[in-house]
Amino acid sequence: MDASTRHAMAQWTLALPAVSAYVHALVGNAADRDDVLQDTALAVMESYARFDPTRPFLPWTLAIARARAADHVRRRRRSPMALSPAAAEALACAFEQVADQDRAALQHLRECLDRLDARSRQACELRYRAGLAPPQIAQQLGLQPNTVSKVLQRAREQLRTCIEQHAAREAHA
Amino acid sequence: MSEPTSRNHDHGRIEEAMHRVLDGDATLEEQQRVSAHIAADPDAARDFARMAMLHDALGHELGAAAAHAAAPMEGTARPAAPRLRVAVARWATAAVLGLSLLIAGLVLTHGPDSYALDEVARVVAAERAARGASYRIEARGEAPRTDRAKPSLDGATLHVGEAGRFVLERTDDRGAAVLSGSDGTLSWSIHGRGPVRISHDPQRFRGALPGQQHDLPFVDPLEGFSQLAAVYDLHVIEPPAEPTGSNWVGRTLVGTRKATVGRGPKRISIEYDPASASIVRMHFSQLPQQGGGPESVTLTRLPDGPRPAEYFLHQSHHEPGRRVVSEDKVPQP
Repeated sequence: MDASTRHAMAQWTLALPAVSAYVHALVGNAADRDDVLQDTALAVMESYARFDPTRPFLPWTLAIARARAADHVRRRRRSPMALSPAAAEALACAFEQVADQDRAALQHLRECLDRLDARSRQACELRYRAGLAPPQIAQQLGLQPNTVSKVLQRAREQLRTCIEQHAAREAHA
Repeated sequence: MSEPTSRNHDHGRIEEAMHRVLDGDATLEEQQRVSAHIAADPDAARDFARMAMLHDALGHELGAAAAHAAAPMEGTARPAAPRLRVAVARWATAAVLGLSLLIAGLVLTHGPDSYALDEVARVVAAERAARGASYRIEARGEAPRTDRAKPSLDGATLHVGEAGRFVLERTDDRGAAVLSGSDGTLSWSIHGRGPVRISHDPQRFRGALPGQQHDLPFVDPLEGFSQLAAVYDLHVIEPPAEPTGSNWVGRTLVGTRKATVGRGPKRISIEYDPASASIVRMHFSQLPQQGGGPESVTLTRLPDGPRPAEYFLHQSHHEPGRRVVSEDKVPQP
């Protein structure tokens, strides 16, 4: 494997958490996310020779991902993306600013998941492991859909606080 | 409501809407509000980006844990092997799919990959030793079905055994079980409480199997993995040689269909345990969609061990005395 290929792999691997999250936010589900990531990876590969290494890799990759996500939605004749083009562009800028710090903080996700209360953990398991949408979770748990939305929101807020506390402790250690 | 309280209230509602956008549960009005807010306010955009990273990471963390729990268990008839490390496999799926295509594309110009062929042989040997497997099927991009009785492949379960044995379990829109299978000699199909249809034609009821209509060289690796090299340009993806912060430890065979081959998925990836070579997941994408078939299909191995031979008999799936109808054109002895 030549040095250029190794470099491309390393850059892609570092960028992947942000690219995956960005695509997921644009297309709205994990299955479409995976398909778009495949297309994005191929497009990045095909264009890599033209990439200017003095420029940052992530913004370039996110622009490709945005175009691939739009193509995917158009090809599937699905509902338009949940975010407007202006919002998608602003979000890409935001990812450039938060990706590195967040990638490090998310290393603590597993231990923070273990500290969630039972109800929050159950909601996360149903949402992310079983892949159920909030209305389906509501049906399973005998709750109102709005309640499930709030439980998920609270769980994610607790997780965010926990991982940031861990990250801050690590930074000061 | 005073102004600061009003601002807090609005902020709270926007945050709720952002979470609902991520969950795919937002109204059109909420989507538009979130979009406008993100586009106008860099702080809001950063907040949403952080939410999205956590949301996606949760999917990888819990989804990866589920997928790798389906990898072969120690103590079964399969060759003993260390489990893939669940705790470090969060990005396995996305990293594998992403890296695999990146590297497959970069090395395609360098000709056939003998290492990939060796790995195919290892996978075939491992699957042969396993003598069967069960998979959960996810199918995406199926056209809306006009025939409610014809079930989707999404959510189906496929059990495969030796010598062409299989059972495909689906559910139609009315909740009735739709089963099709073969015991290696007799093919059969059962829809709900209807009669059992049987045939000595081994292809008779295989039409619903993922890839059967698309010249996929395999549904069961034992059947067709040896054909892989003829149909696909194959390469193996390893974890990066240098530390990059990724915890991905899996290995994947990736293939791009050769230009001279007619139908079939344009891309395939087979994720497997590098030590035991047992398949964890197979993904086929850019399938031709004549007849409204799916655009992509993923088969994730389930932790069930190989089913016994009796499981593949139609008699194991209905009560005694169910009417049996032969669809053989020529009476069989």
